[in-house]
Amino acid sequence: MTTPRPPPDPFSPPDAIRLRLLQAARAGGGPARSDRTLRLVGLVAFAALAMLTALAAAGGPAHAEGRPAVVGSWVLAGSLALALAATWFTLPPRRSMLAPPRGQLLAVAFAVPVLVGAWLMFWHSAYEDPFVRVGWKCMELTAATAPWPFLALVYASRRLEPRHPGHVGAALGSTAGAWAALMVNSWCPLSDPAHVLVGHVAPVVILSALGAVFGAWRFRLKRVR
Amino acid sequence: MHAAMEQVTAPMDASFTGLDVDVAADRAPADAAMDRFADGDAAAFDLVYQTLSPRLYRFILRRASAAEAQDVLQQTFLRMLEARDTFVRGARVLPWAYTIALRIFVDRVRRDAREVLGLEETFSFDVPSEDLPPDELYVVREREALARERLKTLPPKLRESFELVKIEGLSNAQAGEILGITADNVKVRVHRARELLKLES
Repeated sequence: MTTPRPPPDPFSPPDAIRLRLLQAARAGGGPARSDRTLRLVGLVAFAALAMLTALAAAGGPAHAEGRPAVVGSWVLAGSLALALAATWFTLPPRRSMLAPPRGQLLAVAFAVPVLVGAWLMFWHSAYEDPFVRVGWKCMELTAATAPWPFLALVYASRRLEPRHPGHVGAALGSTAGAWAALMVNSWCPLSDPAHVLVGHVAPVVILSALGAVFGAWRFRLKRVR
Repeated sequence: MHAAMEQVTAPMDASFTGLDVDVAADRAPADAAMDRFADGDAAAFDLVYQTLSPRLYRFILRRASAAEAQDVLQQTFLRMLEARDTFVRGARVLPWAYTIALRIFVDRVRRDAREVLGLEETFSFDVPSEDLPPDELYVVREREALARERLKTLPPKLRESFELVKIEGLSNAQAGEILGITADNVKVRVHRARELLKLES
């Protein structure tokens, strides 16, 4: 006498899926994991070198001589703190495959340009600007320095974000802008509000917008065939 | 009225949570297996699949038809296969898998521009044992149906949080990780969902 076979559980996935996936796993799937730390360190070093090269090509910190040294030190210290904080809040937690909460990413994306501008304008009354400029050069220098930290940040952010890829991109763009601002602030001695808005704040806003577009394209889930 | 709602919510907290196994207990093997798979051990993927697929499948089934759920499940694991080189050593695989599944499903719904809730012909919190006496089985099924109807009335954001915490048995932190919000935010949403469910009873 044979016992009747139990009916398939309607709440378990069919075995055919498992077999198909195991076959795909055996066939390779994506490449196996390698040590990313060394590559990341290399990329960060390259980004730092590229930013410093762009800064040197523009004339280096000597261009900011008209600004009092103490003010310059404070400006740079604040810019560095902002860049570090933005990086900390944007990158995924150490042992997680997922990016930080959406609110945190949005806060970084919006706060960085605001803080970059506010911090420079805060020093406006402390000294007389040595000259007047619209801010195009500062914008150019931002454009020349921001792509490198952006590349390193994209690599560090682990490439896949299923929930809100655009927000991740925007936060990464702003964070790259914060690192670029550190370079630009060491070069530019001006704190006039109009100049700061055009030359320092606008580029970071643009970077954030470009980052959002990049993130939505690069980090989103794509259908696998 | 309150007693009726108790009947609906009480099972969600205990026997109807859809948790056949302890969450904490099944987490570590899947994480370790995913780590091994990421390092190149193809055979370890089977354990990842065996551990996660029943929960993910049931989770998707609450929102989609069986055919759609199977496609979403397959796509989820294919994404995990593709992204194995990016898997962070020591990371938890469960929130990641849920997030991918949820996103694939949401993208799919948006693409198809269909009403999700209308497709839930196979929805269930759990599989009631067929060994139960017929009258008890009937009560269980009735209670499930009632709970299901109540859940449908929740706003999507509250419903997602409520399902992940109260039905899937995830912690607030895990649910927050999946949904991209803070654990406190999840707690608030679950609380509001409960309040709404009580109000509707």
